Amino acid sequence: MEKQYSQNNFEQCTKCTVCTVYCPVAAVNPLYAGPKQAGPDSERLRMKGAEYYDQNLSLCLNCKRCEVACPSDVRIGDIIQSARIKYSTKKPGLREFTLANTDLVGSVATLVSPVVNATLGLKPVRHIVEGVMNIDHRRIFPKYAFGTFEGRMKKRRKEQAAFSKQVAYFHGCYVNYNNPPLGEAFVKVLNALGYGVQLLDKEKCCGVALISNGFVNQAKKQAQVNLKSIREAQNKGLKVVATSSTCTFTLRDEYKHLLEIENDDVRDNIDLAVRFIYNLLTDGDVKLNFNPDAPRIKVAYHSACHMERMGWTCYSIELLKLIPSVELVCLESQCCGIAGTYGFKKENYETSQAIGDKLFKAIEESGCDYVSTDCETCKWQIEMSTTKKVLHPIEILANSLS
Amino acid sequence: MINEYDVIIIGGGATGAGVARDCALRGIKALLIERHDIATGATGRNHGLLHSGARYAVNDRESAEECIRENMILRRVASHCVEDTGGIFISLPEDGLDFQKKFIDSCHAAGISAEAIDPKEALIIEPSANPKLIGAVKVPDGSVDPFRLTAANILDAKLHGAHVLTYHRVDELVQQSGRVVGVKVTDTVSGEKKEFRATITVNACGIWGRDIAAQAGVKINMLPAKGSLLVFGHRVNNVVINRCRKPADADILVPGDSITVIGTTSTKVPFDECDNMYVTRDEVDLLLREGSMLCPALNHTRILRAYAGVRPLVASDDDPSGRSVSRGIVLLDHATRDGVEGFITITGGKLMTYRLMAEWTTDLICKKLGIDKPCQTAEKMLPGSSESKSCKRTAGGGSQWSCSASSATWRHGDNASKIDSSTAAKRALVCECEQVTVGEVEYAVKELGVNNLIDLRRRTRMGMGTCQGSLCAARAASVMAKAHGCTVEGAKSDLKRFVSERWKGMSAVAWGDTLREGELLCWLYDGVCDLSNDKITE
Amino acid sequence: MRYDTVIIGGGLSALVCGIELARGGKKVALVAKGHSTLHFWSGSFSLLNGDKSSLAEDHPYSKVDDAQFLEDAYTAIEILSVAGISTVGSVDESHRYITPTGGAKSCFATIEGMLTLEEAKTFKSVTLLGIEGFLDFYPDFIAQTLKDLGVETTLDHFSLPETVIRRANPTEMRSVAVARALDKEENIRALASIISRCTTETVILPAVLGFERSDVWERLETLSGKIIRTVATMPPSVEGIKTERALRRVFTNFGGTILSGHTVECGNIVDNCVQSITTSKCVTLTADNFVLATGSFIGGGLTSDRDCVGESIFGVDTLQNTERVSRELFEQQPFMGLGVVTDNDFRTLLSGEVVDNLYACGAVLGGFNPVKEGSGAGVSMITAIEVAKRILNR
Repeated sequence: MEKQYSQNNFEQCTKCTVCTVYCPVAAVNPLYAGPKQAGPDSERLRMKGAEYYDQNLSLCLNCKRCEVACPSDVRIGDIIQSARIKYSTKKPGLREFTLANTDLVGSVATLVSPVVNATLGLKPVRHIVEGVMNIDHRRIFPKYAFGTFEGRMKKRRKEQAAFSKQVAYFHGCYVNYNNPPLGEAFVKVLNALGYGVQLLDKEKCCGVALISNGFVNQAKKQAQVNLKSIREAQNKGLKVVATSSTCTFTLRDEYKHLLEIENDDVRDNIDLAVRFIYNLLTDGDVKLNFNPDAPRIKVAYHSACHMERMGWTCYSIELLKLIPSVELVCLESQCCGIAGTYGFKKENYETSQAIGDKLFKAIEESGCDYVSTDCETCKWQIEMSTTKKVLHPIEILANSLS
Repeated sequence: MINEYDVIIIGGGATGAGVARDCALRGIKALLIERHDIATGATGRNHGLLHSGARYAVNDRESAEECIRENMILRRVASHCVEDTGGIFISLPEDGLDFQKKFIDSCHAAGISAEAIDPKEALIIEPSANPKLIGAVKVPDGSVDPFRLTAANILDAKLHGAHVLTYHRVDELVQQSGRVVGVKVTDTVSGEKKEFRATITVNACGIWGRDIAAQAGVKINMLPAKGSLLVFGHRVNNVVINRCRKPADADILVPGDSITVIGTTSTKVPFDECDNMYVTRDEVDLLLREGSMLCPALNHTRILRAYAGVRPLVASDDDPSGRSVSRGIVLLDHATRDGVEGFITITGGKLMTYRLMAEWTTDLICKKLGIDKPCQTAEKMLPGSSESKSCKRTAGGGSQWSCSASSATWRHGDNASKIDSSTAAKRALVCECEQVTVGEVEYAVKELGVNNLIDLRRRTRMGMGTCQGSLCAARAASVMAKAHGCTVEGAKSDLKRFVSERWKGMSAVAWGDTLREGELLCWLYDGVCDLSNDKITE
Repeated sequence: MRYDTVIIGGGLSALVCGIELARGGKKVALVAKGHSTLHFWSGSFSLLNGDKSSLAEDHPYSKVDDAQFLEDAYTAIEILSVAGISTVGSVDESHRYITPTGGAKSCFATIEGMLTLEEAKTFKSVTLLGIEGFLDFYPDFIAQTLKDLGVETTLDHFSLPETVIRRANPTEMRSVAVARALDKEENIRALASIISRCTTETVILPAVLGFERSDVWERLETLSGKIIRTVATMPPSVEGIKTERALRRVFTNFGGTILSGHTVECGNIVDNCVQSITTSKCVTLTADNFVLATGSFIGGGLTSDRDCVGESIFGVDTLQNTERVSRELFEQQPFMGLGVVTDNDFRTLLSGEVVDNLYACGAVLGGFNPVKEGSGAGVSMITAIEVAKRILNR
């Protein structure tokens, strides 16, 4: 029988209240109306008029845990984000511009990273940043790398081209400006599997921060640039693989659902690193040689929100289970509270930390050596808020190879 | 209570409420008696279309002219009950454009503005309209909330001294020497019997008026015409969509508050069905088939429920066969018609012309009572409508409870300021779909004559949203019990009646998400709460 | 991805089946669309009102012989206790729980600490303590029932600084918000001191205790010196959420994998054998055996359009009724009895042919009316256990 889906997805909501239980924001911040009210309930009312739009919808951190919890397939998070795009009258300011333009800020900062890192590390500077930008002074900034990942990869073009099989790597801003070693770990693993890694012709920031900070038009422009490059790669028969769960999610789902840009033709060709590698290892005849002398480590895996929403945490978990030197603990899936740029904003700092509190405690109690997660912003939050170092599953995998 | 009145009005629909108000405004001592709640008959069971009259322009110019006049009046005096959505009449390929020209000419002749627009423009005005349309005409249709309209009339009637008794059944018209002098009634809640006297008794009972008239030995030839409608889960359209052709079944799609209604069918039914009507499968099919011609999205939209009303069609007095019916207003002075003094019947007409019907009736009452006071209802604002419409648009201002504040203003107009929202307890939501707060429930119980949960729904939209009460009914029952001061037993049976009534409307369209919601309703109230067993037995 | 058994569903039936299989040594994945109907649950497990032998032939219970049935019911309670869910009541003798609107409904196991009719009768006097501004708990209704039983009942309500803050939000003052507040030490202490001032020995609260920490109940009783009992609230059900969470934890502890937020979009059946299923998240799963534990209409296991009712993933055979509904809500609703038909081994049928490795358990099954029979939780757990046995015996 044909499935009966309402054209307006919010109508599948039976008002069962399940989503309200799993909203990390409503749990700690009584100012937020919660996903049921902010999403399907009010969407119906917003059709009467824009006066039913509540400015507090900006408290939604777009974790989409409501969607994962929903037994009726309602795209609650999308409904809320779309309403923000459609109705919000708040104009983004300097802070939003700085936080959202990861590309621009990143390219400048990586040129003079020692200065930037040192300066942003200073307490007085952070107070000034708070005063001028409304970014909380307690927030620790991710360090910038000296020189970009793209720059480093340019030098390795020939070496990578030598592999008979190739993938295109969507590295994302974080690998490019802050953490090139993760990109290098990815290259190491892929090379070990017999794949050469090349970059896209042109890669822009996926735009997740632009969307959440209200720069929808710029996000659309960047999306078009990325999709063009991805299409070119697809035409060359290349899979496009990303290490960041949020970039992957944005490219695959948010472009269509929030920016209303058609990406059906390439969606299946965009893959997440852990999934791509896991499938290679289980479906094909490739094998990885693990270093028998690698030190045994206890790893606590944290399921990032967008990872949950994509439904792919199982790949990271199964992949980590394949590593002989890793003892894996799966942390109860919950939001860490940072949600990209959300937690940087002064007004959200308390909410952000309160959301993550349970996770931080669970991490400390787990007795792990490392925390692992596929999301870079979760890494910042967890490293700032716990005593543990956070590694991407790909880094752990790369470290364990012979 | 004083038992002597100038006028007794039987029937608490829009017409009866309108007569009560008109009388009260002219200083006539009036008592309104209604056997259920207000607006339970045909008044509350139609489209809620604020007709521009365009629908009648070709075939019934008189009705068309009445409609456009009343349309303009209601926009002014009942602004919180009316929404100026505008309307379009669309022509589909199978309709051709021949009718359109005649239609526009007839509209103009009746004084209705009707402007042919380009199909592309029509789709900009109303994107949900069938994209296959080949022509469209813009008319000043709107939507009107019959519950609010009736409640506002009742409120104003009471403010001006009228008495209103709901849940009182008329058992007998008291007659003395060929004259109706009063009524004997039973309070259907307490069972108490009462008698009231008045110089004039007005029969404003819609289709049930036949039986009331019969008690005075008067015969009115009426034909019950059932009209079925479907309610969709949200506002699919923002502009009324009509079909530009000879009026037929299911060719009007009206956005009303947070939902959209398609209707109607039209079938003659026997009188004994009037009190217990349900929508048949064939009617649902027809409504969906024709409705999706106006707006294809209806095929994929959740249907909340189905309902049906009965139009009181009156056969012309000069046609004993009863075939020639009038859709116009029928005002019968039984003194001149039948030799029964002190008895008037007002029937026929439509929701749109309730005020005019009330005016004519009250004019006749005044004549009989020798009172010389002009009608004011065309100028005097109804309570709630005295401030400009713009208050709807600014209410709330994006704060945390802006949704409920806006909803309350939408429902009660400037009277929303009487709703206590000073504390968190009062702002707490009872019905989340329709944003009904504890304060609003208390206001409705105190000021709007609410006796039970079903009445409360008519005054506030509580339980009229997506979940049809599955999540809010128990809350509402508990809040009501406190506000209304009833027993626990009473509150529980009220709760049971309320969810049962919600289910009746859902059961006719029990598939897809509506069936899922129904299962939840069943699961919660029959399962978890075990409401089907009233008493704990050993 | 490959597993021994893939269970589609995430509710009571899926979890019980998953736990049985996982502790039987199978590699099991559970594919859950969202959270389950345990979120609107009473806190009691029903088994059956009346006599099993009088049930129709196509009733799921009729496929289980009496001895097995009893054994399964004990297993169900044992699984709950493994998950740390203590219950009162017994399989041999039913008791009645007090419903949110003050009714009393038959069941065989009730979460420990929740008020039963049998226990209520033993109280001389109680205090019913509501929470100011919390609209999903009805002390007046429950008090009436207790008074009718001859229990002297005092009504009172309380408010804590945090519940006052919570109330600022007109929509989120629900059971879970209150329960979260009562997980905090300062609130436990404050509530305990309010309880200790009650004049009766027993105090009845809404069932919102111990959402994330397990010792709240004990702490309140110790600090206040009173006996504390609870009565269910309207959804979301805190006890239901705790139960789901506990069962999930046991399942994963036995090595099970849960894929959350996946809707199974299609299944590939070749020669009456399910080869694989693919989810909305582009994950394809293969397994030796598959279990449909997808629930009824509300859970999404069954779909319906104007003309017919169907099973939503594989389109396996279901019962059809000409009359789907009764217009009277509280009468027997025919749709409640609709669902998947199976052979005596709970294997589904496709156009009349048995699908060899596709089992069904729980609310997706046809032939029983959970509400009118009082058999919802029982069918979910007993058929799950039966299915697990059959898979383990293959």
